[in-house]
Amino acid sequence: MRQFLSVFVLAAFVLVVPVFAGGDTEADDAIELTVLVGHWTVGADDSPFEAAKRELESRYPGLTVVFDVQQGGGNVKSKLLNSAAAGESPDVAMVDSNALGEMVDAGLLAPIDSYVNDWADWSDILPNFQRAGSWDGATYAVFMNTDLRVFVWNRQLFAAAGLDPDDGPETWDQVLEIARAVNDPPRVYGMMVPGGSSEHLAHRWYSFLWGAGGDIIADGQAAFDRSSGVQAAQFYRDLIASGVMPLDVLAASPDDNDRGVASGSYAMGVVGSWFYNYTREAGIDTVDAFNEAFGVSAIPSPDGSPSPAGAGGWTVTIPAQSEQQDLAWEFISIAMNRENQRTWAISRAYVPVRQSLADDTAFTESIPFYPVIEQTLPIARTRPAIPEYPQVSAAIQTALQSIMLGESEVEPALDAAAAQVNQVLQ
Amino acid sequence: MKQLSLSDKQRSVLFAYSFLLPLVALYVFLMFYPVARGALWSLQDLSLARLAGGRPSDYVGLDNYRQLFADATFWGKVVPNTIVFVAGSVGLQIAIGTALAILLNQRFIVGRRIMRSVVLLPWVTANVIVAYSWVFIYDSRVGLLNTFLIDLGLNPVSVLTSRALVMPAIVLANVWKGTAFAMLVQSSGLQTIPDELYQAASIDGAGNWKMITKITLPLLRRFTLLNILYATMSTLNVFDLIYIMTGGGPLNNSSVVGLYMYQQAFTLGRFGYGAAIAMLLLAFNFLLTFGFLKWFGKEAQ
Repeated sequence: MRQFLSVFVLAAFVLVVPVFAGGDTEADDAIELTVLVGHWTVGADDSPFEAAKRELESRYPGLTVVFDVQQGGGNVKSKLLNSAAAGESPDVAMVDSNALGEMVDAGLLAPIDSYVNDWADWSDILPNFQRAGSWDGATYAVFMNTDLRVFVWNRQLFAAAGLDPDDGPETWDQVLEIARAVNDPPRVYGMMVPGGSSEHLAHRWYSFLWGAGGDIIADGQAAFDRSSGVQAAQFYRDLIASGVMPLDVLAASPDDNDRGVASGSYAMGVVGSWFYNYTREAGIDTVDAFNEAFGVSAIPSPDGSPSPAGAGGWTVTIPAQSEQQDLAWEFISIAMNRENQRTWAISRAYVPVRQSLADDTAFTESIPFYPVIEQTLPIARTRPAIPEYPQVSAAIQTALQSIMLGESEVEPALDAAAAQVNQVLQ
Repeated sequence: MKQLSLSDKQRSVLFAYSFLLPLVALYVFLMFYPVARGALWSLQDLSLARLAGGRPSDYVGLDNYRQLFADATFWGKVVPNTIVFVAGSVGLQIAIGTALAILLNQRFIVGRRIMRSVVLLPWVTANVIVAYSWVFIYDSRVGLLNTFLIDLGLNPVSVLTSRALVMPAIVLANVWKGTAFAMLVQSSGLQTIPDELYQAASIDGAGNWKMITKITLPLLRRFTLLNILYATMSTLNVFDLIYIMTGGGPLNNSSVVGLYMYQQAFTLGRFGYGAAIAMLLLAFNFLLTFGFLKWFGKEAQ
């Protein structure tokens, strides 16, 4: 019997030890603050999160700010959901502005009204972006910055094809016409819009949809399948069918598609306002060099008027499960203070959402096409911040891909997506 | 207090079983619990966000399964892709693996050991590296394949976005990676075939081809079966290679069951539906294992 007991105790010990070994290895007074971030926001001295980490760790000896760094926006969201499901939410988390509704609806985020009301920087944030961080009357998120979609063309490729490098297209017909003129595959293709399964596909297409007078959702029903949507999706089909855009845009990551435009593999493209980051990678790293290489405008429309740009951006939130919400807020208030946001926006060509930065000349010096952004910002539009948005976007992405691939005709593809969306919205 | 009285035999049996306890406990915890939980989830309208927020989800009976059986993408693309992927990978891996094993078993080949090690290299390379290497090979502008085609004066091919080429391209990458293991198993099988058989056959005037078809392949049968079992199981559940190479795209044209399940559950947050797909995959794995065990049993007799 004793033999049996000793084996049982040994077995229990073997089972139990690893459970504890993984946990409290650090000293009792050590505190960790976990911050879930996207890979593009950390690792550089000018990162607002790195600045907040330095500051907070110097304020509280024994505190370590741990970054949970995820590659790409999709993974940031998955990680938040998965860690929350496992009961191990981070203390601070980046959330894409379009997913706020979904996250709040699921009870994942803590309201931060009591914090922002006492925060001196809060009143400096543009009112529409204050509102965009709230849901059902409560505030849940602080906007880091916004980003807009713009149209860009390669001046050198225009000149080489005998076109006026200062004269970008204003209508979709002109886009197709110019794209044909500069097309020289496989070295250079005429046009790029992202085509792979990601939010970028849907988000950049919305500018075409809005430019044609359409909308994503109207009166609680899918509206993207109406005539303007058909026209906008047909334009995507035409780009592929006329050979000016390769199906590669469906395989490459959104980053790589933008890099393709930056490196001259595409003569024109719809890119994000952060496009300058990619040209810098390609060696075009001063404002003058950029303006010499690229022309930028609002996204063309069927009739030549500028299309509304899609505005997105990332927010910073406190997950409801966090047990260190005061400390988490302290971290956010440092990362999001005016100075850190200014440094970050200037160095990464982001569009600030601060009143006090709106006329800051440093931005015209740091973002080559800032005047275009200033013009586009008033007509920029955001996506519906409803909990069902991810499924709406997924349905639209599927429809657009099947249209680009030629798997289905434009109207049936959009009709199927609309039916799916209406079912979700019910 | 009355002592628990056990006979010596009972005690030693109990003692022996107690050694199994840690493993049984681990197995229950790591295998049965997740499966049971998955089975429950497959009956719920469960979204990842609601699960994460601890919000309740309704039981919807067999709704997820009903949807799954009516899912045109699943049956029209994902399942056929999986069949092409598994059949293509397993068939080619074993055919090429066997051929290589026989070739590298020939005395006239110099440096056989070095060559075997070289063939093994892809197998010990991480799937992530294999996937990115092949993505680079297939790249439509700077990839090795298209550079070669362009040098020959041909038009470049966008392999990973072509609906017709994407699955064969992925199968090729998987075969490149997995053939080494098939070769290894077949090589060890070859060592079990006595030389005398070949000598006798040679005296009887059998040529090389005859010896391969009449002696080598029949005697390798059990090893080949083992190979098929292992390759089928590992290929059926492949995720990382395709996730990295194409993410299942373009438009699910290279999606396989494992990847589709992941996308439904984690990308779209449809956890209940993802769980239903997982249950179907599990059932299929069971069927397959059962079938193979039967087959093995017959072989043994």
